[in-house]
Amino acid sequence: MKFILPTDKTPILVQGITGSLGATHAEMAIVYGSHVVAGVAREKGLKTFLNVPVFQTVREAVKKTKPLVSMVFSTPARALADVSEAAKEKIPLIICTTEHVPLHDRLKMIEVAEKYGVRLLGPSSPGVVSVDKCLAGTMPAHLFPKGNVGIVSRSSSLTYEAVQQLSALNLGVSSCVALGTSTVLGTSFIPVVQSFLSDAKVKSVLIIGDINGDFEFELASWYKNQKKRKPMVVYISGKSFPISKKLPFVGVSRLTPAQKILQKQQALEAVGAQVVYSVELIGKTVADVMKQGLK
Amino acid sequence: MEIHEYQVKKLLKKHGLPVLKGGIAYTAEEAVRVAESIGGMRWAIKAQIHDNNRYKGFFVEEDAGEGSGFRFAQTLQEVQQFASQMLGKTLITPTTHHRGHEVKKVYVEEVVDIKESFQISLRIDEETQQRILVLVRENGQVKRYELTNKGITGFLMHRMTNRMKLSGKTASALNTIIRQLYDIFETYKARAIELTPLILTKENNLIILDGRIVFDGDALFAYPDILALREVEVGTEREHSARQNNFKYTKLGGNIACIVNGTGLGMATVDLIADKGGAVSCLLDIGTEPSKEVVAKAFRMVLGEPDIEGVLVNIFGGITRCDVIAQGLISASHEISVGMPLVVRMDGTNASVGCRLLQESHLPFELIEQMDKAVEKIVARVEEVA
Repeated sequence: MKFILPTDKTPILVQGITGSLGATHAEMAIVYGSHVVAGVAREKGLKTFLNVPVFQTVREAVKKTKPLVSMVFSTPARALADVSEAAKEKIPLIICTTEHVPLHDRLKMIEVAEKYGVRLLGPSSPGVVSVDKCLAGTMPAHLFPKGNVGIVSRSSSLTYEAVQQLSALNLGVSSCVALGTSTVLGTSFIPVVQSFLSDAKVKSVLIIGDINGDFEFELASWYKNQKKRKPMVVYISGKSFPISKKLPFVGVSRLTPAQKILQKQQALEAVGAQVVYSVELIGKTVADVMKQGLK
Repeated sequence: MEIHEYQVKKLLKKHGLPVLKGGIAYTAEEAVRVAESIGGMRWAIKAQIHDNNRYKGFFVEEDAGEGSGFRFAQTLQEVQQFASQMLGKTLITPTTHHRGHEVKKVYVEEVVDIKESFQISLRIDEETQQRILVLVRENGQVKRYELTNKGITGFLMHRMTNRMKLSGKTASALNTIIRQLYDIFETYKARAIELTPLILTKENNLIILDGRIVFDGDALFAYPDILALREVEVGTEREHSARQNNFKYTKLGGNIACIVNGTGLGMATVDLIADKGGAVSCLLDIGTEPSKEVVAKAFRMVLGEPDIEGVLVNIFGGITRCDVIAQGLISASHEISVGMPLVVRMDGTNASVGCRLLQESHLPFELIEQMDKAVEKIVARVEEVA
């Protein structure tokens, strides 16, 4: 299932709109131009907040305002319940921004989203930016100049670093999707890259990976069989870290970070991606592949 | 977070799982009393430290006697002797801190004869996003079972007992054990529960000889009884204090301390320093929205590190505001020692305000604009000073 990038017309619901994070980021989204149509808050009697109608349940909000995206701002303890509430109402894209959600709950969130056929981004996702159209999440969208690079990332801090390097070279971003930092996530690289491949505004794809998990390997084996291709640049940090001293689990043989990252880089290089080996070269590499086009 | 063997066993026993008779002792006299109450002729004396290689360790002190943190006693006199040799002494294993851990308590347990042993692990595999059950037999064969959200099914247990060549009563005992384990796994939202090992005795009883529960730090807010068992381990005091201040601390062993905001940026900074010929002493990740106070604490902590010869602050302000970072750094500045190289790279939200604050402070911060240039600078400055 492809990832649908929101636009300035996509109706957005904010769950937890009156909380401190929810209020801050809902306001930033509205200022940016996102089409926030409703909020959900538990307080009784509250009719509007930030000039947006507020409901007590997702069901009511869906009935009255028909959102296509829900941004979830909850506590770790409530995140699973809030995401489930949105999934049951079949909101097609649920962005869970909550960090530190218990691992068991993260897994259950993914299962609930699958059950109801909706897409979950996160948990712990900083969300999506469709530049100059829509901010749905916690990213500093004001730093993103408009352009033709599609970014999908597992590290928010490196995303901002990369965007800065791009803008210094007069390059900009079309859309940016932040997957979240854990390895247990509702959305991996594949559906986002799939969207980028069929999005005419995206001329090149920047992947910011992570040492943990298998998402980069999955991306490589999927991309190998794609007919449609775009210049793709990959950066993964952490090669100089030592192996963890913690006792591995039963039946696990562990690679060093350097070995694992090398395997990921080789897998993606083998399917035509351009690997960036040092962080300061991300911007320059994207500029180069955009000039050269597909090899 | 992990807990001691005796705490694991107490929890397993409470849930009806088969563990051997045993008890905890803080003194040699208590150890003898526990051994007496267990009865029999043989006892295992096990050092209780947060480490899973206690069997491979050795003691620093000479009067701790020969042997590791795991010894067999044949008489009550030996129980007394071994317990008093271990208690208050320092155990070093391949996985402890290099200074070792002080043994403050020992577990005294009955001993049985082993016919066969199995390693069993029930966990969420974060690489594949699945609940899995892993069985490792004595010959090293690994079998991995993927679980659905229905948990332990009859079919799965059928496959598992076949593989373990168990039948009749023993097979149904295994069934009960695995289902109980799953119950604990779900109840406490644990990352992993491992039986290391589960043994089959000569009398065909299944017994959990040692166990490990890895709790999920993110889930423990709901389990104060487990959280109360948390102990600050030797060599992790700084990690612990960082955790209490909501930032992450990673010790790496070089001489340059790094303060960053965000995991990915931190790793990239460490990589870049290594590429430019430097070595990071410790990495402090102050998170996405730190207050001025948190920044000051992080900076103070770094300045208090014994082996640092320079500090690099690498911040890309997204949600993080660079002016807040600058204020935090300045407020901890009275702890800056003379001649210590301090390089700051700040970019993003409010970077110009932040840089101006640092300049106007007339403190010895060197402001560098790009990440790679900042890294080159700190590596060069540390070399100069050394």
